[in-house]
Amino acid sequence: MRVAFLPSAPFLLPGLGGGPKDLRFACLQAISTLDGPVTVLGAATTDGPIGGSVDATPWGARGRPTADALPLALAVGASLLEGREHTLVGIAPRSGVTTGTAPTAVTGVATVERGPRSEPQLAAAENGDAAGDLVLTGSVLVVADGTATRTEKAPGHFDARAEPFDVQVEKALAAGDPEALLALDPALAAELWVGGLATWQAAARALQGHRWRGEVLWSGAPFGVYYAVATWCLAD
Amino acid sequence: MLQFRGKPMPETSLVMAIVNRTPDSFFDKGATFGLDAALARVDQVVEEGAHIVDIGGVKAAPGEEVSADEEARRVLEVVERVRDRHPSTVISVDTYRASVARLVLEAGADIVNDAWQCPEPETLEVAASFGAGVVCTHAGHLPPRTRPHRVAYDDVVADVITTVTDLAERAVAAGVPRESVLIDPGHDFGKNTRHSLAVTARTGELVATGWPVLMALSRKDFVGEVLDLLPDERLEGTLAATAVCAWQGARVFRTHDVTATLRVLRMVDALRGLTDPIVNVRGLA
Repeated sequence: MRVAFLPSAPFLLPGLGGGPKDLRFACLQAISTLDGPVTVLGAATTDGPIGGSVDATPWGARGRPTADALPLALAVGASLLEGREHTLVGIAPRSGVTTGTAPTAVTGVATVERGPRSEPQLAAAENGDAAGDLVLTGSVLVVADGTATRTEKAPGHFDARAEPFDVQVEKALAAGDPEALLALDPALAAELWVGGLATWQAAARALQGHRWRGEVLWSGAPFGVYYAVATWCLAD
Repeated sequence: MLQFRGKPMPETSLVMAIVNRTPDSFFDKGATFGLDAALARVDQVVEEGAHIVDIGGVKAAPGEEVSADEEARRVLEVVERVRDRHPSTVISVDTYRASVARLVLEAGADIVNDAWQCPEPETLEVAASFGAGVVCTHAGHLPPRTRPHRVAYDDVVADVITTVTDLAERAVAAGVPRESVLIDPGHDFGKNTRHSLAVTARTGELVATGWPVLMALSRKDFVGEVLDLLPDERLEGTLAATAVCAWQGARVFRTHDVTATLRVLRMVDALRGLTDPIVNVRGLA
């Protein structure tokens, strides 16, 4: 089983400029390590499987708006998968906060089990209801990003605590360490405009209990928002 | 007819000149923070032909906290002096605080230019109590002095129209004279560059609401991103957007560059048949 971590910047969507070429290249490189059907995890208003269209018009792209535009992170994931077979799973923020701020806790969203082929499977359940579990196999794509307060020009202005927070994230991703992602402080994350904590922690909950080999392919905060592209593969 | 506290405005496109009593605004970077410099700036823009001066004491972007007392201190003494030196000039004050609005209106200001979508609703009552004008701005529903982060709209222009016309009707309901209300789509405020381009290109839809439209375009980031230029290189881009908005009927243009903006507006007004050429002898002599 393999996992890829990508940021969810709108400029990664079609028709919005593409963003830095090296970041985009790293995203595609990370996706290329995934095999089989892909489960995409990303922020949404509710937990659980979700369908819809990749539609960048809400962020200003030209074209006709669709009636079923996907939430940003899932749209980014679906778009970068370029037609590969995938399932989209929404992860709701945990405190009702708006986009750009962070959730406060993660419970019962996703769990991992040993599958029939001795590989972890992801079980995502709405509201943690076991009866509603959706069991998925294959690769996982986690679309989330870090603080948005890295510089004076950052969306949330400068906060000196942002860089150390992102360093923690990066170390966790590099080490393939779900526990370290779960140890991130949601209250601090909220103050630092971390948009991806609920998603990271849902993934971490699903992936914990196994040993992972992590590699960070790209990281940085070129516009004051922290992006990380990383891959994990099973080491046990 | 557009008028502010008894001062009727000409039927042409109008210029609102920016006067920043701030140490840290993005373009002038404190050049007119000092009282004498601010007053000299006002004298200059009035001489150039600005119809309105817009005095601000707090920069729009996040940054050093400015208390209401400090903001009032910065703007009040400028308003008092300008009222005295230029009795017929329309004075606007750029503030989102009702308390500051009250003080400057007492000192003779004519318009409250609230760029943050009226976070303190009593501002409308304060303006009404002085018979003053208000600017009803779309700021993307964000709190004051915050930047947009991945803001998304089903239709940004529709959201702007709903928001500013609702604010304008609330202003009139509060007692603000209908002929003293402006609407402003709030370029860059709660918007990415493409959103700001959309509201610029679709100015006609705002004009069609019947409310006079104020456009605050001057050297903003949406111009900077289109051209990849810094604030001091954004004049031509700003003027291009100004012409496009004026052609579609926007009425007031808030600007750092008064003479250049007046010339563009004079030209567009002539193209629209609103004004005659200043000289008209070619082929006619």
